[in-house]
Order: sequence, then C-alpha cells, then structure tokens
Amino acid sequence: MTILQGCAQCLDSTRATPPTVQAAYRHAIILLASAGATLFIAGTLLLRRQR
Amino acid sequence: MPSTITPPEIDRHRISDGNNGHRPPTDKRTGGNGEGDGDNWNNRPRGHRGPHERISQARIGLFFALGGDLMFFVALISVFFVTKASGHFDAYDHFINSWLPTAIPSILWLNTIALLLSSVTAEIARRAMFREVDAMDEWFGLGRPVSYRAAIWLSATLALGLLFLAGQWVAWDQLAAQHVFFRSNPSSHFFYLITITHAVHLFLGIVGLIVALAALKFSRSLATRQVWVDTTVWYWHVMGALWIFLFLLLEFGQ
Repeated sequence: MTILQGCAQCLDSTRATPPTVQAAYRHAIILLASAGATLFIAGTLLLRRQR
Repeated sequence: MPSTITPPEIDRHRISDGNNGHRPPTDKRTGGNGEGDGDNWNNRPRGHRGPHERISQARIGLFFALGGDLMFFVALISVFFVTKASGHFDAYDHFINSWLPTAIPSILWLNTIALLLSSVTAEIARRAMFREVDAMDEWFGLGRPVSYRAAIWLSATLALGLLFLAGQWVAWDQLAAQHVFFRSNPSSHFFYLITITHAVHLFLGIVGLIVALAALKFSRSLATRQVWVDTTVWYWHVMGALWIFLFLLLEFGQ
C-alpha cells in the first residue's frame, strides 16, 4: 500500500511538471536502464568467456 | 634378435602441419610439457593456475568494481539533466528555471590534454610489462629490464596525473575568484560535484600508481608486478575516458 502511494505521489508530482522536465526524466530513465543493461550484458559475456 | 626401443608416447603422436616436416612434440598449454606430475598448470585447482589466471581474476574484479562506479556517474549525469530542466512556479504561475550555465575555465582543456598523455604513457608501461623477450629474461632472473622500463613510464604517468589534479585545483580557484561556489547555482553545484568526484577517483588511481611503482621496486614475483601494473593502468584508462565524457558534458551540455 505504501509503495502504491509512493508511486501515485511520484506520478502526480511528475505530471505537475512542465513537458521539458518530463522529457528529462524520460532521458534519465533511459540512460540509467541502458547503462545497467550494458553492464549486465558485458559482465555475462566476460564471465562466459572466462569459463 | 635385434633390440627394439618403444618410442615414447609423445613421439608417436607427432602431428603433421602439412607443410614442412613436423611440429615439435610440445604441449602448447600453460605450464609446458608435463602431464600427471603436476607440471601442467591447467590441471591444477582453480586459483593455482599461474600468472594468466591471476591477471584474469584481477581484471574481472576491476571490471565489476568499475561497473559500480560507472552506475554512480550515470546516476549523477541523470540528475544533472533533470535538475537542468527543473524549476518552480512563482506567485504568478510562471515557471522559473534557476539554472545559469557555469563558464568552464579554459585550463580544463590543458588538463584534458595532460590526462590523455598520461593514458598514453600508462599504456606504454603496461605493454612493456608483457614484452615477451624481456619478460622471459626477468622471469629467469636475468636482470629487471621490464620493471625498469615500466617504472620510467609509470613515473611519467604519475607526474602527468599530479599535473592534472593541480590543474583542477587551479580551475576551482579561478571559479572561486569569480565568486562561483558550490552553492551559487545548480549548474556550479554540478560542476564542483562532478569535477571533485572525478578528482577523488583519479587520486585513487594515483595511489594505485604509487603501489604499482612500489611493487616494481620491491616485489620478487614478476606476476605480481604484472597484475599491479595491468589493473592500475586499466583503471587509469577508464578514468581518462570518463573524464573526456564529463568534460564534454560540462563544456557543451549546459
């Protein structure tokens, strides 16, 4: 329940921001997700190569 | 009855290379020719398979340590972009963005060149550690040509790294003289945050270089020296590449 409230609050506060800020959030999410995915894939490939 | 000699196993399994004669009957794997007497390092338990395994393990450890670091910097950059776009509404419902771009001191260009040069000298030192002829001499205890050459180039890297840090200090000093401080503006806040965080990481690299130089001087094991120089230089390269990205972000991303 607390998590859902947190999500709703976050969503509400993001919706209250101008489109430029929303775009910045979207870019940040893409940047973080792609960096994490790159690390995961590179780590997996590296470990497979070592075995 | 003529006496016959059974040829050794290894001679009966010579492999033709289809060109001129035969390949020598040697085992090309790490550890040489031995089988069954513990001489072949590939048959040893994990963690005891020689220098190649040690260097691989050190590189994997460094990769994951730097992976965590990379995520930290990516998070920092994400917040940079969000803060740059953010603002607040005033009493008249106008959106106010308080981001004022910070003029980057031009000394950062010189610092960047120094850091690029330091990466070149570090790479020369790293490659020197693996130069086969010299490494074999050193392995057999015939002097220390590898360590000597690597120490010269690592010292040059250390000097250039210190020059970079001194240059960063001058840049912060120049901004302070213009009354641009950590809390002056969201933009200056990020300038200091990014440059100081990178400088702390580079300082760790300098500590690594000093330890690698000490290892070159005092360590009796060539493998230990190679591991120290190799991992430190890879760390240094990553910090250099990271700085290029951060510098471009600060120079053109504001």
